[in-house]
Amino acid sequence: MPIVGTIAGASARGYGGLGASVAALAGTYDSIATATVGVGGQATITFATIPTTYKHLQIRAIGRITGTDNKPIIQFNSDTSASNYWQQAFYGSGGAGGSWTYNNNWINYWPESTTTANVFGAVIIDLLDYNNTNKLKTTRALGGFDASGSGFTWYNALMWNSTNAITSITLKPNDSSNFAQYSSFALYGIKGS
Amino acid sequence: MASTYEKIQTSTLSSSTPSVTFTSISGAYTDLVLVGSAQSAGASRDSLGIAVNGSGSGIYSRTYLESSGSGAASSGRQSSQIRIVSDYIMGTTGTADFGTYIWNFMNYSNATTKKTVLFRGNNTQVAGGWNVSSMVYLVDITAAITSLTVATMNGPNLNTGTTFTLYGIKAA
Repeated sequence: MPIVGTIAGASARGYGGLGASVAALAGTYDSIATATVGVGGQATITFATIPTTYKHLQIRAIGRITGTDNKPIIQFNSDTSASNYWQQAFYGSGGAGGSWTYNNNWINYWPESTTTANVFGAVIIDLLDYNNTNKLKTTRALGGFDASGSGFTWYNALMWNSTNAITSITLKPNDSSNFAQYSSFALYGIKGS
Repeated sequence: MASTYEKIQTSTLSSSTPSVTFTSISGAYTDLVLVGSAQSAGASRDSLGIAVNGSGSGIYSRTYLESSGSGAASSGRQSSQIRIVSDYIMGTTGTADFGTYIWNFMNYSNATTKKTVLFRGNNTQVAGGWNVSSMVYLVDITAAITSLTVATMNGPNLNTGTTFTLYGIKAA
């Protein structure tokens, strides 16, 4: 299962299913909504009116940006102020590994207009305890892309400086361009015990 | 809302075996997740390699980030590889030391985009640490992924106790 230590009966968890069984999974991981970008691209992807019946959320996506800035960003509850978000990332881009901290809401690093055609990046974002109004909201993400000669892989932790429950999620390119055709975003809900 | 995370198949080796293959993978899912706990039957450490749709040509490339021991993390990139190459797996000198490996095959069944795979690997041994890694792969095909074959890169069998489970994730 995708979230560490949240599914009843599981002993080990990680991205994508470590130690999971069919019995443990039944009824605990639901598809909430999916958006696939059509011809001409799309500037924003918004998951609105997110149900409160889950413990955690997960976004699984592939994407490509039509502009020249590699970074998609994420916004919660229409909070467009980048200064309300903090991120810590650990990355590899072919040379030495590196890390950074920024007061912004970059959520990944994807191909842009000059990257080899038809290469799409990917990301898996876990949003933990998104309904809890006593906690600042924290996400973690694993993502990147490879284009046979260029590429970027990273882990990212992002904090939204708000205790509000997350009721909507927006993803968009940092440079206000579009997500390219065939980019696809799926939102899942994960139930607690 | 339908339940969307399903086990497709598990293979657990009761004897050492050259490879594990998942064939005729349904196109009914959006993503595939392959989870492995593996060890080489050879004495030395090795790597896992995955052939997609039976292809051993140079259609695979990767960018990786890894940490080994106490030094700084390192990153690298390779093109024209003949498999999706994982981080290290232990050999039998590691006794019961098995690494854990998870691959996410994103949007594997569309016939339009080149395929991107996200990977995390972890392996340690009793006598000391080995690797933790994150990788992103390009599989330079637009066809749907319908089979996956996992083997060691250097030829030894996969050891007894190695297990792989393939899951499918549906989207609304």
